Amino acid sequence: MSLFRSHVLICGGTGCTSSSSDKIEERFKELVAEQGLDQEVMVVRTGCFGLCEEGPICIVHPEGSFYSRVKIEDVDTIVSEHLMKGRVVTSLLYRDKLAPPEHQLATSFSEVTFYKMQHRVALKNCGVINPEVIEEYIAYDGYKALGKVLTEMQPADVLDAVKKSGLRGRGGGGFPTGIKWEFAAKTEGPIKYIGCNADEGDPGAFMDRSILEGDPHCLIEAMAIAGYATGAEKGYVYIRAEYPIAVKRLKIAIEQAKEHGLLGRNIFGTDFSFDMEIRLGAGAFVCGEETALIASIEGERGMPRPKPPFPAHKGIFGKPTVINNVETFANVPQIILKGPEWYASMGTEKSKGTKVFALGGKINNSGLIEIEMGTKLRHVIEDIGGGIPKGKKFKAVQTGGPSGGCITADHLDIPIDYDNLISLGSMMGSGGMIVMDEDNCMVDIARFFLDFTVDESCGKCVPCREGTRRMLEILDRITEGKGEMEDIDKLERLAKNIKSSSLCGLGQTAPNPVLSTLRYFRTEYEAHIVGKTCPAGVCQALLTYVITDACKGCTLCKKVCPVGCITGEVKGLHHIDPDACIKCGACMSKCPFNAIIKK
Amino acid sequence: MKSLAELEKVQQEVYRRINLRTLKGSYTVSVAMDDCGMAAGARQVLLTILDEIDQQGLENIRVVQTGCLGDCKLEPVVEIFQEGHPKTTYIQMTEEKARQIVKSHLVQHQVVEASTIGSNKK
Repeated sequence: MSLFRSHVLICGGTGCTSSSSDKIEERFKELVAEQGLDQEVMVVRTGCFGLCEEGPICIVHPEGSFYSRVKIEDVDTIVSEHLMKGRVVTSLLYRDKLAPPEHQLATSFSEVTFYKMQHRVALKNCGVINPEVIEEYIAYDGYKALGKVLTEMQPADVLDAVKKSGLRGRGGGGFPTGIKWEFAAKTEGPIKYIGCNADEGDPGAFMDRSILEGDPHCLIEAMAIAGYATGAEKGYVYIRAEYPIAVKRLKIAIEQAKEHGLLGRNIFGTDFSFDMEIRLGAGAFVCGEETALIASIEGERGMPRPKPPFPAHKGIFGKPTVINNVETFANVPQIILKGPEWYASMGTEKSKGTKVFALGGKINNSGLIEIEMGTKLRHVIEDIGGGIPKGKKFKAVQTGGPSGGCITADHLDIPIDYDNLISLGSMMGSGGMIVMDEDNCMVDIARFFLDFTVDESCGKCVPCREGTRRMLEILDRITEGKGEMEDIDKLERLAKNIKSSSLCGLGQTAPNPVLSTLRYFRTEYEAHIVGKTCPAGVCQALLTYVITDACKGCTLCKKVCPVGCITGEVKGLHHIDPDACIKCGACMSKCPFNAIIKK
Repeated sequence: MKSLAELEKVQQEVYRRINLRTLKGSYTVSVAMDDCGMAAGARQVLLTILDEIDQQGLENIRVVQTGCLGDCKLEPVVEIFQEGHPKTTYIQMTEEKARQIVKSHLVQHQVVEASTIGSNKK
């Protein structure tokens, strides 16, 4: 690799790729070659930069100029101005609306508010290195931790370090990682396995995918370290086939690691050997549950089984197994390199280190962020996330996806950690955060998540299979205006029973969205049941379309109505017959005077 | 890769070539590359500077371009910035002079007085 004066980094994550960042990369390469700049300018496809809202993103170093929402025709300008003449194209730069007016142009990537407020550990290399070049990973301290562990540390030292760091499982449960490893290490047996759960299934969570896409070697290194610590020589990565870019990059990474002798026999000239294999999942949510994941790896149908025995005693093919998720592993190499004390110095008393969150929903800066544990939720939403679009009012944030619950404006000042979220009736989950504003109906949100869990329930145990379906039916009734007050009691009773009697985590947490919306937004349920109205104006069956005095009598609505329920003369006030109206909304979108409203 | 030493060798080799993505840069070498500079051979000067930095194994140096500085007869012009130090402007660069300023200014932190704009006035 020779020295280049300028590096053009183009986001190659799934988000930016879906808005054609691959074509942007091609165009850059084409133009750079055409202009004879190929000795000076390096065009690199990296992993996700995190600010997905503004994609496709290109960063030109050494200046760090942050170009956002780049279109293919913009590439010509960037090459001819910035790369040829050294003039930053200010009209294409990202505008940092959170910064003071004089600093809004993102001339330097590291100065952007969104990034300045983060602390990146697991995402350290995402958006920095080319994930398909092992040397770039090595350049940023890659495989150094594995080298250190194999040559300077005993397995017990490694277990000790991970335990001391206070690292807890980032997949949702929050079980201390060091203790999990120790269980597997203490279980006798000639064959043990390391499993990586990359079956990220929560709607709205994409941190594991981004780590795999942006820094796949990090996972390989961490799994090898876990193998050394517990006595395992083989690792399985269970990843969903719906993540094609992640699968491709991980495959390349494993190949490269083998070529360089960083996987295989006698790594770094020691007795330690480690090999890895990818298992593709079909994208079933239940396979994120570790016993179902194990069954799927073994080639069985992905269904959970009772615990104990825990995977640390009887896991993949009945052998002692450690299962961690991608983000958990991604923290390990740095804990080894910088020391457990460094890691434990971040976060709160019981939740150490940093956590990646996927911000989505009604928020200005949708994307991926990494913050220290204990950061206030308000800081995440208002400062890093940039607040709610269109000046709307914040209503709640759903954490933990379909297994979690919502947190309201009253609790925005709590520090985020595992225990605080649970005390609020939600959970950390894998770190999805879906922000909702005043236009979201909480009953509808609960219905949406339950609809998801009903679909994803594997059907093995009755409470989950039948119970969640019954709950969904009740919610459907309520949103259609056919609910009764006793439905709320029924929901609560069902929820309690499902939680206590389901076989696995899917069922045990499936009622959470209903319980937490009932806890904080009971009045909304009551409005649906008693008042037969949807306060947020979402549930179609409960809405009536009304024409106000702003009507000029243009007759457009009358013409567009598919059921002919609108009456009125030219230049006269029109009227909708609420009994005949099918609530399609066609009239409302057609009205040039905004005279039609939903009530 | 059979030893930690081997790994570290690769790390050092590659890191200094890509660390401009994460470091701020100790020196910034700015080459004027507007039409006048290009006509006077600025691109060759830039490539030479890159090559010499690489050969010297220097780390953390930013090489950037800039436009015309106004005194076109002095092109190719190269400016060197370092935080807390006054800017140095080198004029009428050639490949040879470019290698010299890398070796002297960037490696030994010694300004090559003979090639600066100040010496031109005398």
